[in-house]
Amino acid sequence: MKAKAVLAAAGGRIKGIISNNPSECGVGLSTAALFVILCVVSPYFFTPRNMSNVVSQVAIIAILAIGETFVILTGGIDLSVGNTMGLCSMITAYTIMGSQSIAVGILCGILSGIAIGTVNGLLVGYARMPAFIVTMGMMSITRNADYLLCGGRSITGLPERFGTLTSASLVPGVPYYYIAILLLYMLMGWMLSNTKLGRYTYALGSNEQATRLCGVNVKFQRVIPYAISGLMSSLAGIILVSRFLACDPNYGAGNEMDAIAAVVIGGASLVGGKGTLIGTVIGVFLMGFIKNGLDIIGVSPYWQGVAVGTIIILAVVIERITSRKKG
Amino acid sequence: MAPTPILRARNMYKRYGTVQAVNNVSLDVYPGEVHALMGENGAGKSTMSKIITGIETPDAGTVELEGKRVVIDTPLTAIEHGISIVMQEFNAIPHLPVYENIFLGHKEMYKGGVVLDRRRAVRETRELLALFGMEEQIDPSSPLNTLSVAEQQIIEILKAVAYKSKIIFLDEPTASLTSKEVGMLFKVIRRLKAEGVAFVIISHRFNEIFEISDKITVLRDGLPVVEGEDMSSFDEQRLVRAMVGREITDFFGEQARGTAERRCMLKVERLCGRGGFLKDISFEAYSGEILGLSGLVGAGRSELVRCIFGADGYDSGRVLVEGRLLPKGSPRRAIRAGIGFATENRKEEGLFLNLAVLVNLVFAKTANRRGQLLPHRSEVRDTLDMIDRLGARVADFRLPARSLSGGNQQKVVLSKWLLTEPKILILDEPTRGIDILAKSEIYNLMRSLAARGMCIVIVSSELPEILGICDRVIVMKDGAIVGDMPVSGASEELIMSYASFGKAAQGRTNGCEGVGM
Repeated sequence: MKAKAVLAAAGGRIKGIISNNPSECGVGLSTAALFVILCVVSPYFFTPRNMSNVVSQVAIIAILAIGETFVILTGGIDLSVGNTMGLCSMITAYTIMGSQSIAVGILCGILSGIAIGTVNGLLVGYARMPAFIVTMGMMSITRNADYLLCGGRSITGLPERFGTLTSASLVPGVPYYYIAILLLYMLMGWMLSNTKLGRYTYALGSNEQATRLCGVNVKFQRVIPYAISGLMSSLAGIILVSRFLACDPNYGAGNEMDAIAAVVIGGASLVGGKGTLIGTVIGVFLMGFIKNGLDIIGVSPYWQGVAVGTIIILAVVIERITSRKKG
Repeated sequence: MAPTPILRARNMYKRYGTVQAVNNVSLDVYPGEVHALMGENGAGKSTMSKIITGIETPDAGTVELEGKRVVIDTPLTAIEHGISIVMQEFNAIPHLPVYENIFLGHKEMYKGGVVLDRRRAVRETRELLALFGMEEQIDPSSPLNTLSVAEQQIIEILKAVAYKSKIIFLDEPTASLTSKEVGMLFKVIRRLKAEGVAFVIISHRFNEIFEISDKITVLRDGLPVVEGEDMSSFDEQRLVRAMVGREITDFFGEQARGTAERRCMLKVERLCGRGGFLKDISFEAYSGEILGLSGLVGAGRSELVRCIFGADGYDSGRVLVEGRLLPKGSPRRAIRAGIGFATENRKEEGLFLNLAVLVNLVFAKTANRRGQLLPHRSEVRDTLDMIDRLGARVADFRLPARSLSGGNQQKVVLSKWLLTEPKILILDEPTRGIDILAKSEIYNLMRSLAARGMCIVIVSSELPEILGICDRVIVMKDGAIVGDMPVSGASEELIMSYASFGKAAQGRTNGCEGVGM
């Protein structure tokens, strides 16, 4: 009897979680289902080697998707995350080579990321320009600044010591930086639900006028998500350079699509005001599994692109339908 | 005048949600007459004209045209039957030339049904204009948006003429016209009248109604009070009484008089704004007082309170809160000075519809306290307190605000401001669109807040509300204050005549001061 009651209570709790977070649960279930299917279809899928491959691909997008989540929650969009990551990785590599100081390189990378994001944010928040246009312009600027900085060539031969940033591991296959990303997610998730910054992020996406009339400086608050997004791009760029001990000027190209897709698949609304980082992380993994799964099944990369595009559109359609149901 | 009416609408009904907008109204219109359709805001005039012209479908009722039963279910069938409507917002395409706008829906004017016969359209437009002696003034080929508002209004009427309409509905045709332009419009109406065209006219401007109308129908809360009587038997006083004269019950609760102490909480000095629309506005509001701002829609009441709170900026003048100057254009400074402001459109500017009720309730309070962390525990406590205090029906405060009914949403907005502990609470149309019970609860809340010394300013278009809840009423007209009186000396007739004429109707001043006449 007692066990039954516990089970019933647990069932009720799960029901509550599902009814409160329907989109996250939906995507979570799809991801789990896809995982099982891939395990059955391919004996190679669930091997340590492939899993570490998936996670290392996913890690970079996961960081970009944090910033993208903040921006999309305010009803904006940041198209520049991929290319900003590229430029920041190049600035980091360049300054490490120039100054022979890893600390200086990392600092320069992070500061330039924050600066780029802040410029985006100022243009959107204070100049009241559409985020799509501003960040599309920034996307072009950062990509070409990247080429200009390195003269179109890769930088190689970074100090081995810089590589330990990403190679140092807790146990083999689980480097410390995975744990750092996990902690980053927990920190940013905590900020979203426990600080004014988080509340304003949702409020701006939900109703900017109401936010302003409650005495919030909406212009300033609009800047912050873009600055966070710039910061995340720079962190992702630094990790990428550390992993390869080299920097290619094409790093990050197209990654903004992966980040936006992950956020949208995670249940966030492009109109703003709706979404969570838990949804985003599930979205990141779903994208990772799909790409990897299609790879090992031997689907051509072109068809992979078609599949990913289809899934993004489906995610938006589902979001629209469910939010319309709620009225 | 022909003995049979050209239009005979019988026992019309139309319901929107819980509001019976048109309740058993009949309307007879004879050829060549101008029939005034009058009533307060929301009395059902516009709805009545919409259900006859096919824009809305009536719930019940019959329409006869020249003795024949017809069913008008779309604007197009109305036009085919010779009924047109000219609305406040023009139904026109601004950058297209005049002749295209006039003949937009005329199939016979299109070669092969596709290409407009330009020469014929221009010629016929010129003929139409000539009928009213306007062929010199308006070039048929000039784009519509180069014409003045009055000229565009006349083009709308010509459109109806081109359809050979026998009845033309005019919904507030003079709202944005100068008196000279009104003269021009009336000339056109009289000319068509002589040819047997009938008009149904809706207007808030009494003097024009008296000038142009032959018959009158008055609606009140959707019910007909006067059905097709001769205009000559009416004067201003009788019209006002017909429009507003309802019984007022004790719906508004006890008039709990506050403390004797009356401090000036809010002082507005010579405020001008909105590009000259708000004209030199000065008034004071006191602690323990409920001050009503009355006036017709568009009189500038909402604009004024938005300027005071800082939701919008203004050009000149000062706002003082307890003697201290309030900088303009900053809701943040206004809130910190102790002002709360619930806007008239709670969905657009008041609520986060997709966020939790809790977030909506505590948002302003938390946003205006120190620290970056959200005080979850006190937020939950505040939320439960407020839900309890206002008797809001909220199943779960984690649900989004859109899940609540209109009345409960309004309570959430009020709670949001009450939690900031304001000294001055400004409420713009606080009971619009909410049910009777919630209304009464909100009135009682306002009374108890005022009794505890809060200064409350409400903007309301409902006269019974102003008279029932306020201690003092300020009447606005065309962006200026035209009357300021204690509610004990006011009546609906008096407020209406201030709002319409900017002065008390003849023989009824009741010893009240009228400012800026």
